[in-house]
Amino acid sequence: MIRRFARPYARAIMDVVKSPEKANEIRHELARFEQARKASSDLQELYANPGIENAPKLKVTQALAQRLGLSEMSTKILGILIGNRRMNDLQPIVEALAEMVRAETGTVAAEVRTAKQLNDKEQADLQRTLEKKAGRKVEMVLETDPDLIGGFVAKLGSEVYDASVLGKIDRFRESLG
Amino acid sequence: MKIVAVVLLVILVAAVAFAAEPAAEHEGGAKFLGLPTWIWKFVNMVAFLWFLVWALKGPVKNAIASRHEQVRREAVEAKERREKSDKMAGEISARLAKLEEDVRTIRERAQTEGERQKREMIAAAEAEAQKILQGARNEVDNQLKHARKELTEYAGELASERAEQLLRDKITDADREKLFRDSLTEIEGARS
Repeated sequence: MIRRFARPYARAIMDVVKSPEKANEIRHELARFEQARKASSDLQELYANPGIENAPKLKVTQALAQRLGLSEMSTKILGILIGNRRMNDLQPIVEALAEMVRAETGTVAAEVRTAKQLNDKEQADLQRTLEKKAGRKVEMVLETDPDLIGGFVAKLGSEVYDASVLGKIDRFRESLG
Repeated sequence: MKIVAVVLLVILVAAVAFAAEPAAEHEGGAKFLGLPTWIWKFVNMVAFLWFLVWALKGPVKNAIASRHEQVRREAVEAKERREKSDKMAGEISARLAKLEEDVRTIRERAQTEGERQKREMIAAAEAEAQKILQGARNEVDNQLKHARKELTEYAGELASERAEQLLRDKITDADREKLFRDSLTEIEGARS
């Protein structure tokens, strides 16, 4: 669920960059930054601490953005979030932005869990299959889950397709009950 | 007046008869007014008897009439009582006859009712027994079904656990690739 305050930021980014494709790039860059922030407790502490001035926060952010290869626009957006003390809410803003980009491009999100890491061809085949099912472009978020044993589980919009071995075993168990 | 004359006659006759007694003892045949005393005695007796009859005739007649009337009345009453008794006896007989009929009817009715109640009780008891039997059968069936279900579930659970474990242990990358392809085919064929 996207928090209410995240939408105005996402809308502002969409308005500034003007194209959904560009907004999608920004979104991926911000997601990369958020991933790095979440991976480091120091960074989390830095952005969460109101006693630290914005200047050092900006300095660290710019250095990190440069290392991650973020665009100037993304770095500016991060600066604005620091000024507004919203860095800890970057994740919902990214999600809101992703939702708006998908709405603009007619894309549907697909969360796919696979039993094994997929190669490029397999990913392409899966994408094609899901797009055929959805009748529009699909944006896949892949996750590897060995517990599935084989196959995959795809959540496409409100539909869930369970083609995993674990799902088949569970259905067999349920059929006995 | 008549009574007084008669009384006087009797007294006179009787007096003559008693007055002649002493003379008769001396002369051998006493007489009064030229007639032997025995005639006077006879007359006296007849007069006495006549007087007696005359004096007693009314009361006796009345008494007899009264008695006769009383007897007649009693006879009438007895007749009425008899008739009444006969009537009552008839009624009692009729009642008795009716009572016997009633008793017979009641007995027949009681017998019929008893038989009906007996049939109903037997039918109810049979129905209850059938119900209990059916309940017991249902219970046994349910227990059997439940036991079968539990056994099937348990067997299925064991089989699925074993299958899952085998798959986890034995599955290869080639198997996973094939499973992925199969899953793609399955999703393509699935209805959304």
